[in-house]
Amino acid sequence: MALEMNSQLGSIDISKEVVATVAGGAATDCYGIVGMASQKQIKDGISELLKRDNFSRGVVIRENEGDLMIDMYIIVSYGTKISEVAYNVQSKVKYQLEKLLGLQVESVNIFVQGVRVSNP
Amino acid sequence: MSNTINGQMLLAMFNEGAVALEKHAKRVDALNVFPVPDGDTGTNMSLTIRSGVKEMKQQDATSANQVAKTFSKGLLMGARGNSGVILSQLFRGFAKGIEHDQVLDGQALAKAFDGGVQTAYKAVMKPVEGTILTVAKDAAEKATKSAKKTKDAEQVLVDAIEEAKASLERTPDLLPVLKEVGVVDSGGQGLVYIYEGMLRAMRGETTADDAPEQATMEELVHVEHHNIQGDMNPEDIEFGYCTEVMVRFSDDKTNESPYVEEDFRNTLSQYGDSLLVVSDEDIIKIHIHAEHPGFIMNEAQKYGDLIHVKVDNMRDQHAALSNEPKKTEPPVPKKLKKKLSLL
Repeated sequence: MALEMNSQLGSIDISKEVVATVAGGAATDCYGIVGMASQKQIKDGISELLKRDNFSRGVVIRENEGDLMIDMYIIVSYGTKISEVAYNVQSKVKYQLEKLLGLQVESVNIFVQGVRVSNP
Repeated sequence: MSNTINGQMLLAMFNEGAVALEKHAKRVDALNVFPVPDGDTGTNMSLTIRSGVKEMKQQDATSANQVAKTFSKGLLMGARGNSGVILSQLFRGFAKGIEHDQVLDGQALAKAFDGGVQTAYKAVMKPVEGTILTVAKDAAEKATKSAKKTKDAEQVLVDAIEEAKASLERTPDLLPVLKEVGVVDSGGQGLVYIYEGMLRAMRGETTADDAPEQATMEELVHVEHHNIQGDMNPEDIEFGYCTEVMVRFSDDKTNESPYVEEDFRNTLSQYGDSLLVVSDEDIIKIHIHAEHPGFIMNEAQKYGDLIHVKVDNMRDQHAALSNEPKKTEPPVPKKLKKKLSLL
Protein backbone atom coordinates (compact mmCIF):
# COMPACT_ATOMS: atom_id res chain seq x y z
CA MET A 1 0.00 0.00 0.00
CA ALA A 2 1.64 3.14 -1.12
CA LEU A 3 0.91 6.51 -2.59
CA GLU A 4 2.09 6.87 -6.13
CA MET A 5 3.24 9.83 -8.08
CA ASN A 6 4.70 10.03 -11.53
CA SER A 7 7.44 12.22 -12.82
CA GLN A 8 8.95 12.31 -16.28
CA LEU A 9 11.68 10.01 -15.13
CA GLY A 10 9.58 7.36 -13.50
CA SER A 11 7.32 6.72 -10.60
CA ILE A 12 7.61 7.69 -6.97
CA ASP A 13 6.07 5.56 -4.30
CA ILE A 14 5.68 6.83 -0.82
CA SER A 15 4.71 4.29 1.74
CA LYS A 16 1.96 5.09 4.18
CA GLU A 17 4.40 4.58 6.98
CA VAL A 18 6.42 7.53 5.70
CA VAL A 19 3.36 9.72 5.44
CA ALA A 20 2.38 8.72 8.96
CA THR A 21 5.82 9.49 10.33
CA VAL A 22 5.94 12.90 8.69
CA ALA A 23 2.44 13.67 9.94
CA GLY A 24 3.35 12.47 13.42
CA GLY A 25 6.54 14.53 13.39
CA ALA A 26 4.65 17.63 12.36
CA ALA A 27 2.03 17.09 15.04
CA THR A 28 4.48 16.59 17.88
CA ASP A 29 6.16 19.87 16.94
CA CYS A 30 2.89 21.60 17.60
CA TYR A 31 2.40 23.51 20.76
CA GLY A 32 -0.08 21.98 23.19
CA ILE A 33 0.49 18.37 22.14
CA VAL A 34 2.06 16.24 24.84
CA GLY A 35 1.74 12.91 23.09
CA MET A 36 0.17 10.65 20.53
CA ALA A 37 -2.28 7.98 21.54
CA SER A 38 -1.56 4.52 20.24
CA GLN A 39 -4.16 2.85 18.08
CA LYS A 40 -3.86 -0.51 19.72
CA GLN A 41 -4.58 0.81 23.13
CA ILE A 42 -7.54 2.72 21.89
CA LYS A 43 -9.30 -0.57 21.50
CA ASP A 44 -8.53 -1.28 25.10
CA GLY A 45 -9.55 2.16 26.13
CA ILE A 46 -6.13 3.06 27.34
CA SER A 47 -4.06 5.85 25.93
CA GLU A 48 -0.37 5.60 26.10
CA LEU A 49 2.30 8.16 25.53
CA LEU A 50 4.43 7.17 22.61
CA LYS A 51 8.07 7.86 22.12
CA ARG A 52 9.29 9.58 19.01
CA ASP A 53 10.47 6.36 17.41
CA ASN A 54 7.04 4.95 16.99
CA PHE A 55 4.80 7.97 16.98
CA SER A 56 3.51 7.07 13.58
CA ARG A 57 1.28 4.65 15.45
CA GLY A 58 -1.01 7.42 16.59
CA VAL A 59 -1.63 8.25 12.95
CA VAL A 60 -3.92 6.45 10.55
CA ILE A 61 -3.65 7.09 6.83
CA ARG A 62 -6.61 6.29 4.64
CA GLU A 63 -6.89 6.63 0.94
CA ASN A 64 -10.12 6.79 -0.98
CA GLU A 65 -9.99 7.18 -4.75
CA GLY A 66 -6.87 9.28 -4.63
CA ASP A 67 -8.04 11.40 -1.72
CA LEU A 68 -5.79 11.25 1.28
CA MET A 69 -7.37 11.26 4.71
CA ILE A 70 -5.40 11.32 7.91
CA ASP A 71 -6.69 10.50 11.37
CA MET A 72 -4.58 11.64 14.27
CA TYR A 73 -5.03 10.51 17.84
CA ILE A 74 -3.52 13.05 20.17
CA ILE A 75 -3.10 13.84 23.83
CA VAL A 76 -3.11 17.49 24.79
CA SER A 77 -2.00 19.44 27.79
CA TYR A 78 -4.55 20.54 30.36
CA GLY A 79 -5.22 24.25 30.40
CA THR A 80 -4.80 24.90 26.71
CA LYS A 81 -7.59 25.82 24.37
CA ILE A 82 -8.04 22.38 22.93
CA SER A 83 -10.07 23.35 19.90
CA GLU A 84 -7.37 25.76 18.86
CA VAL A 85 -4.56 23.28 19.45
CA ALA A 86 -6.40 20.76 17.29
CA TYR A 87 -6.83 23.32 14.55
CA ASN A 88 -3.15 24.20 14.71
CA VAL A 89 -2.26 20.55 14.31
CA GLN A 90 -4.50 20.29 11.26
CA SER A 91 -2.93 23.22 9.50
CA LYS A 92 0.62 22.25 10.43
CA VAL A 93 0.20 18.64 9.29
CA LYS A 94 -1.41 19.68 6.04
CA TYR A 95 1.31 22.22 5.35
CA GLN A 96 4.18 19.86 6.15
CA LEU A 97 2.82 17.04 4.02
CA GLU A 98 2.32 19.35 1.09
CA LYS A 99 5.75 20.86 1.51
CA LEU A 100 7.80 17.76 2.23
CA LEU A 101 6.02 15.09 0.23
CA GLY A 102 4.07 17.10 -2.29
CA LEU A 103 0.84 15.41 -1.24
CA GLN A 104 -2.55 16.99 -1.38
CA VAL A 105 -4.44 16.15 1.76
CA GLU A 106 -8.19 15.90 1.64
CA SER A 107 -8.75 15.96 5.38
CA VAL A 108 -6.91 15.79 8.66
CA ASN A 109 -9.17 14.46 11.38
CA ILE A 110 -8.14 15.02 14.95
CA PHE A 111 -9.21 12.76 17.78
CA VAL A 112 -8.34 14.13 21.17
CA GLN A 113 -7.85 10.97 23.17
CA GLY A 114 -6.63 12.43 26.39
CA VAL A 115 -5.75 15.49 28.41
CA ARG A 116 -2.68 15.41 30.57
CA VAL A 117 -2.65 17.31 33.81
CA SER A 118 0.98 17.78 34.60
CA ASN A 119 0.91 20.21 37.50
CA PRO A 120 0.81 18.83 41.01
CA MET B 1 9.37 55.86 41.15
CA SER B 2 7.32 52.78 40.93
CA ASN B 3 9.27 49.87 42.19
CA THR B 4 6.31 47.69 42.99
CA ILE B 5 3.28 46.77 40.93
CA ASN B 6 -0.21 46.74 42.41
CA GLY B 7 -3.33 45.36 40.79
CA GLN B 8 -4.27 48.60 39.14
CA MET B 9 -0.82 49.02 37.71
CA LEU B 10 -0.75 45.47 36.42
CA LEU B 11 -4.06 46.04 34.71
CA ALA B 12 -2.68 49.11 33.01
CA MET B 13 0.42 47.19 32.02
CA PHE B 14 -1.45 44.33 30.39
CA ASN B 15 -3.68 46.82 28.67
CA GLU B 16 -0.74 48.74 27.30
CA GLY B 17 0.94 45.52 26.25
CA ALA B 18 -2.11 44.66 24.20
CA VAL B 19 -2.21 48.12 22.64
CA ALA B 20 1.46 47.90 21.73
CA LEU B 21 1.03 44.50 20.16
CA GLU B 22 -2.03 45.55 18.22
CA LYS B 23 -0.20 48.51 16.85
CA HIS B 24 2.59 46.35 15.51
CA ALA B 25 0.43 43.39 14.51
CA LYS B 26 1.00 43.98 10.79
CA ARG B 27 4.73 43.77 11.16
CA VAL B 28 4.48 40.60 13.23
CA ASP B 29 2.22 39.15 10.54
CA ALA B 30 4.84 39.90 7.95
CA LEU B 31 7.50 37.98 9.85
CA ASN B 32 5.41 34.84 10.15
CA VAL B 33 7.14 31.92 8.40
CA PHE B 34 6.95 29.22 11.06
CA PRO B 35 5.31 26.78 11.68
CA VAL B 36 3.01 27.58 8.76
CA PRO B 37 3.79 30.70 6.73
CA ASP B 38 0.27 32.04 6.62
CA GLY B 39 1.06 35.51 7.91
CA ASP B 40 -1.40 35.61 10.78
CA THR B 41 0.73 35.49 13.93
CA GLY B 42 0.30 39.16 14.74
CA THR B 43 -3.44 39.07 14.16
CA ASN B 44 -3.84 35.91 16.22
CA MET B 45 -1.76 37.16 19.11
CA SER B 46 -3.51 40.45 19.15
CA LEU B 47 -6.98 38.84 19.11
CA THR B 48 -5.88 36.59 21.94
CA ILE B 49 -4.57 39.36 24.12
CA ARG B 50 -7.59 41.51 23.40
CA SER B 51 -9.77 38.76 24.78
CA GLY B 52 -7.60 38.71 27.90
CA VAL B 53 -7.91 42.45 28.38
CA LYS B 54 -11.67 42.31 27.90
CA GLU B 55 -12.09 39.64 30.54
CA MET B 56 -9.80 41.48 32.92
CA LYS B 57 -11.73 44.71 32.59
CA GLN B 58 -15.07 43.02 33.18
CA GLN B 59 -14.04 41.66 36.56
CA ASP B 60 -13.15 44.21 39.15
CA ALA B 61 -10.09 42.56 40.50
CA THR B 62 -7.99 44.80 42.67
CA SER B 63 -4.96 42.82 43.68
CA ALA B 64 -2.20 41.84 41.29
CA ASN B 65 -2.78 38.12 41.63
CA GLN B 66 -6.47 38.46 40.82
CA VAL B 67 -5.81 40.71 37.86
CA ALA B 68 -3.30 38.25 36.46
CA LYS B 69 -5.75 35.42 36.99
CA THR B 70 -8.62 37.03 35.14
CA PHE B 71 -6.28 38.15 32.39
CA SER B 72 -4.99 34.63 31.90
CA LYS B 73 -8.51 33.25 31.88
CA GLY B 74 -9.47 35.64 29.12
CA LEU B 75 -6.38 34.66 27.15
CA LEU B 76 -7.17 31.01 27.49
CA MET B 77 -10.71 31.40 26.22
CA GLY B 78 -9.74 33.63 23.36
CA ALA B 79 -6.58 31.83 22.31
CA ARG B 80 -6.10 31.87 18.56
CA GLY B 81 -3.39 30.17 16.57
CA ASN B 82 -0.21 28.60 17.80
CA SER B 83 1.29 31.75 19.20
CA GLY B 84 -2.00 32.64 20.87
CA VAL B 85 -2.10 29.31 22.66
CA ILE B 86 1.51 29.74 23.79
CA LEU B 87 0.77 33.26 24.96
CA SER B 88 -2.15 32.00 27.01
CA GLN B 89 0.10 29.42 28.66
CA LEU B 90 2.80 31.96 29.41
CA PHE B 91 0.36 34.15 31.24
CA ARG B 92 -1.40 31.24 32.87
CA GLY B 93 1.93 30.38 34.45
CA PHE B 94 2.54 34.05 35.13
CA ALA B 95 -0.65 34.15 37.18
CA LYS B 96 0.20 30.92 38.92
CA GLY B 97 3.65 32.18 39.83
CA ILE B 98 2.17 35.07 41.79
CA GLU B 99 -0.84 33.26 43.19
CA HIS B 100 -0.40 34.77 46.65
CA ASP B 101 1.11 38.15 45.85
CA GLN B 102 -1.19 41.11 46.00
CA VAL B 103 1.59 43.51 45.15
CA LEU B 104 4.57 42.62 43.00
CA ASP B 105 8.13 43.61 43.68
CA GLY B 106 11.05 42.69 41.47
CA GLN B 107 11.31 39.21 42.90
CA ALA B 108 7.64 38.45 42.44
CA LEU B 109 7.78 39.69 38.88
CA ALA B 110 10.71 37.41 38.13
CA LYS B 111 8.81 34.56 39.75
CA ALA B 112 5.85 35.33 37.53
CA PHE B 113 7.93 35.28 34.37
CA ASP B 114 9.56 32.07 35.47
CA GLY B 115 6.21 30.47 36.27
CA GLY B 116 5.01 31.40 32.81
CA VAL B 117 7.92 29.68 31.15
CA GLN B 118 7.59 26.57 33.33
CA THR B 119 3.94 26.19 32.43
CA ALA B 120 4.48 26.96 28.77
CA TYR B 121 7.19 24.34 28.40
CA LYS B 122 5.06 21.70 30.08
CA ALA B 123 2.39 21.92 27.43
CA VAL B 124 4.57 20.74 24.59
CA MET B 125 6.14 17.41 23.86
CA LYS B 126 9.02 18.66 21.78
CA PRO B 127 9.65 22.36 22.28
CA VAL B 128 10.94 24.05 19.15
CA GLU B 129 13.69 26.48 20.08
CA GLY B 130 14.08 29.75 18.29
CA THR B 131 10.46 30.68 18.87
CA ILE B 132 8.45 32.72 21.34
CA LEU B 133 9.22 30.02 23.91
CA THR B 134 12.95 30.67 23.74
CA VAL B 135 12.49 34.40 23.97
CA ALA B 136 10.27 34.03 27.03
CA LYS B 137 12.69 31.60 28.65
CA ASP B 138 15.74 33.81 28.18
CA ALA B 139 13.86 36.84 29.45
CA ALA B 140 12.66 34.96 32.53
CA GLU B 141 16.16 33.74 33.34
CA LYS B 142 17.49 37.25 33.11
CA ALA B 143 14.64 38.53 35.27
CA THR B 144 15.47 35.99 37.95
CA LYS B 145 19.11 37.04 37.94
CA SER B 146 18.21 40.66 38.01
CA ALA B 147 15.78 40.17 40.90
CA LYS B 148 18.62 38.90 43.05
CA LYS B 149 20.32 42.26 42.75
CA THR B 150 17.41 44.63 43.00
CA LYS B 151 13.89 44.74 44.34
CA ASP B 152 12.88 47.34 41.85
CA ALA B 153 10.23 45.78 39.61
CA GLU B 154 10.85 48.29 36.88
CA GLN B 155 14.52 47.44 36.74
CA VAL B 156 13.72 43.74 36.54
CA LEU B 157 11.37 44.37 33.65
CA VAL B 158 13.93 46.55 31.88
CA ASP B 159 16.54 43.80 32.17
CA ALA B 160 14.09 41.15 31.02
CA ILE B 161 13.17 43.17 27.94
CA GLU B 162 16.79 43.76 27.07
CA GLU B 163 17.45 40.05 27.18
CA ALA B 164 14.24 39.28 25.29
CA LYS B 165 15.43 41.51 22.47
CA ALA B 166 18.84 39.89 22.42
CA SER B 167 17.23 36.48 22.43
CA LEU B 168 14.96 37.51 19.57
CA GLU B 169 18.00 38.43 17.53
CA ARG B 170 19.38 34.96 18.16
CA THR B 171 16.28 33.10 16.99
CA PRO B 172 17.53 32.74 13.38
CA ASP B 173 20.52 30.80 14.72
CA LEU B 174 18.24 28.31 16.42
CA LEU B 175 15.56 27.86 13.81
CA PRO B 176 16.98 27.31 10.32
CA VAL B 177 13.87 28.38 8.45
CA LEU B 178 14.14 31.85 9.98
CA LYS B 179 17.72 32.20 8.83
CA GLU B 180 16.81 31.00 5.37
CA VAL B 181 14.22 33.72 5.03
CA GLY B 182 16.23 36.30 6.91
CA VAL B 183 13.77 37.28 9.61
CA VAL B 184 13.42 36.91 13.37
CA ASP B 185 10.67 34.82 14.92
CA SER B 186 7.27 36.46 14.65
CA GLY B 187 5.84 35.21 17.94
CA GLY B 188 8.98 36.25 19.79
CA GLN B 189 8.74 39.68 18.24
CA GLY B 190 5.13 39.89 19.38
CA LEU B 191 6.13 39.04 22.92
CA VAL B 192 8.80 41.74 22.93
CA TYR B 193 6.16 44.29 21.90
CA ILE B 194 3.94 43.17 24.76
CA TYR B 195 6.75 43.46 27.31
CA GLU B 196 7.69 46.86 25.97
CA GLY B 197 4.10 47.99 26.25
CA MET B 198 4.04 46.79 29.86
CA LEU B 199 7.15 48.77 30.65
CA ARG B 200 5.75 51.90 29.10
CA ALA B 201 2.64 51.62 31.25
CA MET B 202 4.86 51.29 34.29
CA ARG B 203 6.70 54.46 33.38
CA GLY B 204 3.42 56.23 32.80
CA GLU B 205 3.96 56.60 29.09
CA THR B 206 1.54 55.49 26.43
CA THR B 207 2.13 53.64 23.25
CA ALA B 208 0.92 56.64 21.30
CA ASP B 209 4.37 58.14 21.94
CA ASP B 210 5.88 55.26 20.13
CA ALA B 211 6.14 55.49 16.37
CA PRO B 212 4.70 52.45 14.66
CA GLU B 213 7.46 50.26 13.45
CA GLN B 214 6.95 48.97 9.96
CA ALA B 215 8.41 45.86 8.54
CA THR B 216 11.35 46.82 6.40
CA MET B 217 11.12 46.30 2.69
CA GLU B 218 13.83 43.65 2.91
CA GLU B 219 11.88 41.61 5.43
CA LEU B 220 8.75 41.79 3.34
CA VAL B 221 10.57 40.78 0.19
CA HIS B 222 12.27 37.87 1.94
CA VAL B 223 9.00 36.53 3.25
CA GLU B 224 7.21 37.05 -0.05
CA HIS B 225 9.89 35.14 -1.91
CA HIS B 226 9.94 32.38 0.65
CA ASN B 227 6.21 31.86 0.38
CA ILE B 228 6.19 31.37 -3.36
CA GLN B 229 9.32 29.27 -3.49
CA GLY B 230 9.24 25.57 -3.96
CA ASP B 231 6.91 23.93 -6.37
CA MET B 232 7.44 26.43 -9.13
CA ASN B 233 8.13 25.29 -12.64
CA PRO B 234 9.91 27.74 -14.88
CA GLU B 235 7.01 27.43 -17.34
CA ASP B 236 4.55 28.30 -14.60
CA ILE B 237 6.15 31.63 -13.85
CA GLU B 238 3.66 34.05 -15.24
CA PHE B 239 5.57 37.17 -14.27
CA GLY B 240 9.19 36.61 -15.01
CA TYR B 241 11.02 39.58 -13.54
CA CYS B 242 11.53 40.38 -9.91
CA THR B 243 11.61 44.14 -10.07
CA GLU B 244 12.63 46.52 -7.33
CA VAL B 245 12.43 50.24 -7.88
CA MET B 246 13.15 53.09 -5.53
CA VAL B 247 11.87 56.56 -6.34
CA ARG B 248 12.60 59.90 -4.74
CA PHE B 249 9.59 62.20 -4.92
CA SER B 250 10.18 65.37 -6.83
CA ASP B 251 7.88 68.32 -6.25
CA ASP B 252 7.37 69.25 -9.89
CA LYS B 253 6.04 65.85 -10.64
CA THR B 254 3.90 65.31 -7.59
CA ASN B 255 2.30 68.70 -8.11
CA GLU B 256 1.20 67.53 -11.50
CA SER B 257 0.08 64.09 -10.41
CA PRO B 258 -0.31 63.80 -6.65
CA TYR B 259 0.80 60.51 -5.14
CA VAL B 260 -1.89 58.35 -3.58
CA GLU B 261 -0.46 55.08 -2.36
CA GLU B 262 -3.69 53.12 -2.73
CA ASP B 263 -4.21 54.20 -6.34
CA PHE B 264 -0.59 53.61 -7.20
CA ARG B 265 -0.79 50.14 -5.76
CA ASN B 266 -3.90 49.40 -7.80
CA THR B 267 -2.25 50.67 -10.96
CA LEU B 268 0.78 48.48 -10.43
CA SER B 269 -1.15 45.41 -9.45
CA GLN B 270 -2.35 44.92 -13.04
CA TYR B 271 1.24 44.36 -14.15
CA GLY B 272 2.15 41.51 -11.84
CA ASP B 273 1.94 39.92 -8.43
CA SER B 274 3.85 39.78 -5.14
CA LEU B 275 3.43 43.52 -5.05
CA LEU B 276 4.84 45.49 -2.14
CA VAL B 277 4.75 49.25 -1.92
CA VAL B 278 6.26 51.15 0.98
CA SER B 279 6.52 54.90 1.05
CA ASP B 280 7.34 57.79 3.30
CA GLU B 281 7.56 61.54 2.60
CA ASP B 282 10.69 61.25 0.49
CA ILE B 283 10.81 57.85 -1.06
CA ILE B 284 8.68 55.06 -2.52
CA LYS B 285 10.01 51.53 -2.60
CA ILE B 286 8.39 49.08 -4.93
CA HIS B 287 8.80 45.36 -5.23
CA ILE B 288 6.84 43.44 -7.82
CA HIS B 289 7.06 40.36 -9.95
CA ALA B 290 6.11 41.57 -13.40
CA GLU B 291 6.44 40.46 -16.97
CA HIS B 292 7.28 43.94 -18.24
CA PRO B 293 9.48 45.79 -15.77
CA GLY B 294 9.54 48.82 -18.05
CA PHE B 295 5.90 49.63 -17.32
CA ILE B 296 6.63 49.64 -13.62
CA MET B 297 9.43 52.13 -14.08
CA ASN B 298 7.27 54.33 -16.27
CA GLU B 299 4.56 54.38 -13.62
CA ALA B 300 7.04 55.04 -10.84
CA GLN B 301 8.74 57.83 -12.75
CA LYS B 302 5.54 59.82 -12.79
CA TYR B 303 6.22 60.74 -9.18
CA GLY B 304 9.92 61.44 -9.15
CA ASP B 305 13.39 60.30 -10.01
CA LEU B 306 14.48 56.70 -10.05
CA ILE B 307 17.29 56.24 -7.58
CA HIS B 308 17.62 52.51 -7.56
CA VAL B 309 16.49 49.83 -9.97
CA LYS B 310 17.05 46.11 -9.77
CA VAL B 311 15.59 43.55 -12.14
CA ASP B 312 16.19 39.82 -11.83
CA ASN B 313 15.07 37.29 -14.37
CA MET B 314 13.33 34.72 -12.20
CA ARG B 315 12.98 32.11 -14.93
CA ASP B 316 16.73 32.09 -15.40
CA GLN B 317 17.34 31.98 -11.69
CA HIS B 318 14.93 29.19 -11.26
CA ALA B 319 16.22 27.18 -14.18
CA ALA B 320 19.75 27.56 -12.89
CA LEU B 321 18.67 26.26 -9.53
CA SER B 322 16.57 23.34 -10.63
CA ASN B 323 18.39 22.15 -13.74
CA GLU B 324 21.91 21.95 -12.50
CA PRO B 325 21.68 18.66 -10.68
CA LYS B 326 19.78 17.03 -13.52
CA LYS B 327 22.48 17.61 -16.12
CA THR B 328 24.78 15.13 -14.54
CA GLU B 329 23.42 11.67 -15.12
CA PRO B 330 23.33 9.67 -11.97
CA PRO B 331 25.54 6.63 -12.27
CA VAL B 332 23.50 3.60 -13.12
CA PRO B 333 25.00 0.32 -12.06
CA LYS B 334 25.27 -1.97 -15.08
CA LYS B 335 25.11 -5.13 -13.16
CA LEU B 336 24.04 -5.81 -9.71
CA LYS B 337 26.71 -7.05 -7.43
CA LYS B 338 27.47 -10.52 -8.44
CA LYS B 339 27.13 -12.45 -5.34
CA LEU B 340 25.31 -11.94 -2.16
CA SER B 341 25.96 -14.38 0.53
CA LEU B 342 23.68 -14.99 3.40
CA LEU B 343 25.35 -15.44 6.69
